[in-house]
Amino acid sequence: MKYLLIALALICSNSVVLADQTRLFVDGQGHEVRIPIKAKRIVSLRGEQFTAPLIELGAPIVGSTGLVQEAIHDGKPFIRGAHDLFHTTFEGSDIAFVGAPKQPDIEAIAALKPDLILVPDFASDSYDQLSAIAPSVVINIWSNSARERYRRIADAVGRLDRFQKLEATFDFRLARAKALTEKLLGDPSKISVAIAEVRGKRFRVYKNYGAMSYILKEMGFSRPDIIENIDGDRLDLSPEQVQAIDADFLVSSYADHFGQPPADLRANWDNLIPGWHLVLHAPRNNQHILIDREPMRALSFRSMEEILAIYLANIVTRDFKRLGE
Amino acid sequence: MSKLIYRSKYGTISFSLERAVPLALVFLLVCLFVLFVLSLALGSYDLSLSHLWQALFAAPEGETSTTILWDLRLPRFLASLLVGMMLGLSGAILQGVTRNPLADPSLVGVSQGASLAVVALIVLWPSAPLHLRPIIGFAGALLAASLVQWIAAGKSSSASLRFILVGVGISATISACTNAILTYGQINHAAAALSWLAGSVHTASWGECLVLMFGLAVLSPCLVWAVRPLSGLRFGPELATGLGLHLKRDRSLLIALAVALAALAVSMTGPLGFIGLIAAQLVHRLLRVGTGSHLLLSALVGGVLVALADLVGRTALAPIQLPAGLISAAIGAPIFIALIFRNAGPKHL
Repeated sequence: MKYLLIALALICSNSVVLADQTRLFVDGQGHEVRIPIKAKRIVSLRGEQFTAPLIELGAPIVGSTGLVQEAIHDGKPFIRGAHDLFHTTFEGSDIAFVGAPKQPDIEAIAALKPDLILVPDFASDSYDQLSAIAPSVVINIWSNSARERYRRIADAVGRLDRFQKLEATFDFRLARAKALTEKLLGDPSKISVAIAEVRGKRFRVYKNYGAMSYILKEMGFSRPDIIENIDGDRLDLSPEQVQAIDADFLVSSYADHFGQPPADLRANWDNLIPGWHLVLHAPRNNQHILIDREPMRALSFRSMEEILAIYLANIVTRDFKRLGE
Repeated sequence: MSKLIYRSKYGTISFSLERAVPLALVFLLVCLFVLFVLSLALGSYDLSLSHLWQALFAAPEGETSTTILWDLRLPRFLASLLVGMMLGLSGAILQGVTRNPLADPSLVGVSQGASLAVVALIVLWPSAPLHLRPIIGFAGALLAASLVQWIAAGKSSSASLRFILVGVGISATISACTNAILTYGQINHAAAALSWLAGSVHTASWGECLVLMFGLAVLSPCLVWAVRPLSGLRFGPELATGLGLHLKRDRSLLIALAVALAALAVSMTGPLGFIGLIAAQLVHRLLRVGTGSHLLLSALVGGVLVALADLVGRTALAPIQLPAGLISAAIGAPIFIALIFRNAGPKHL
């Protein structure tokens, strides 16, 4: 009993020490910040990119930015990505709403007494004010791969151990999926997949688009040249260039509760590019895959695994007609 | 008309003030004081009066209340006041020079030039240090305004209509370029640029306040000089020439002064639309005052408008923060329309 109590005391004191100790962290913009080894009160300033992975990591979040849209969650603030993927709500959790991602309420953040603030690069103009409140680290979004970004977040909040466990599970599933792809389809680079959407008068193709593009790349599928050569994440094309995106499969995303249901998605294509489904190989052969955008956007192994399952079902394990056949 | 006379052994300085001016000055200063107190007291972080008093005068180091007051609320109020004053002054000068009640800094391409420069910096060179934004914005504003001046000065420099049309054309072209960069830039960089374009003082620091104060202090003698040519221009170019004004030179200098004021303000906060237009017009439509008083009151009205807009924007729907640019337009537009309807006589149109 005595040894048990000593062991318990040691564990408790160790965790207290861990929480209070600090280390130096170099963030995405080169700031050298002294942060807690294991943060206990985290404020996240980006829902789908930070709050969602923090929830998956089991990190203690005290505040998050959110969005307010009349059609979603009865017009109450919701955490983009985390709401759709984990059904995390402000009311049902201990996470406080601290405003919109572009201009969070710095005083509301200060009132939460955070010990770490995660700042997306696009909102880093408030860095000086935020760092006066608590140690703040800027995480670059888009410029590094989804997994690398996730690793950085896990590292900043002191949850690399949990990240590595989730990563190992995902890698196991990915390896299985790749083996199955090779067995059924042969060289995956011979299969091309384009991610493209039409909204209003805008015809846009994506090189990087959350888990949708990340998993395609991990599985080894190729992209049409016009997408592969994009310098950046996306490119707006003229409707006349529609044939340049011809591929075995076409992937588009919908967001039903954002007022973009799947039916509208196809109607948008019809309106801007009449006859697109006859010109492009994928829709002509029922190889146009529609994916729910919001859960896919949430940076997490769960969304990656869900997308992996979608591609396995809709590309790898089904009969389809190859481009040029 | 009341006259203040200061006599010394070096000479006499006299100020002529219309009767309404001291009253208006007191009213605006009271408004500013109330806004100052409210800006320090209100916010998402609960600061009791005793904490506020302690943070203001004792400023205990390391206390969150000290940070909230000295790093967030005070510089924010001061920046909004200074930016509003500069935009109000700029609008008043431009309306006087062009003799057009709709003239404001966006007419001469200041807002658009600063916007294009900063958006290009954010999207094309995302790793650029943040302190470069106001410098580049200032340079962009000056370049755009110079371009408008240069083209408009072509054959008939006195033609206000030509100046306005060139300003509108150049501003539209610059805005198109900004939109193109936003459309084709990376989504996260475009998001950062859009945030700047909304026009807000939420990132205001003491450094920015010092730059604004220094700018206003340097340009103040020019404002005193501006009263005479602006007064002359009120009577039209022919009479102004008859009064001894060097029309071409004075117009250019006045426009340069207005551009410098607006460029400095916009480069710090992003484009705060409507202030330059409405501050001068509010004074013009509410009071019949001389040029000097008009400039002074326009500056104070501009300051009140932006300070009020920022206070409302950060507290009304907290924690959702509305940019001051959005609120100033929402507050200013109805007042402006009401004034137009109230004074719809031909003398005001």
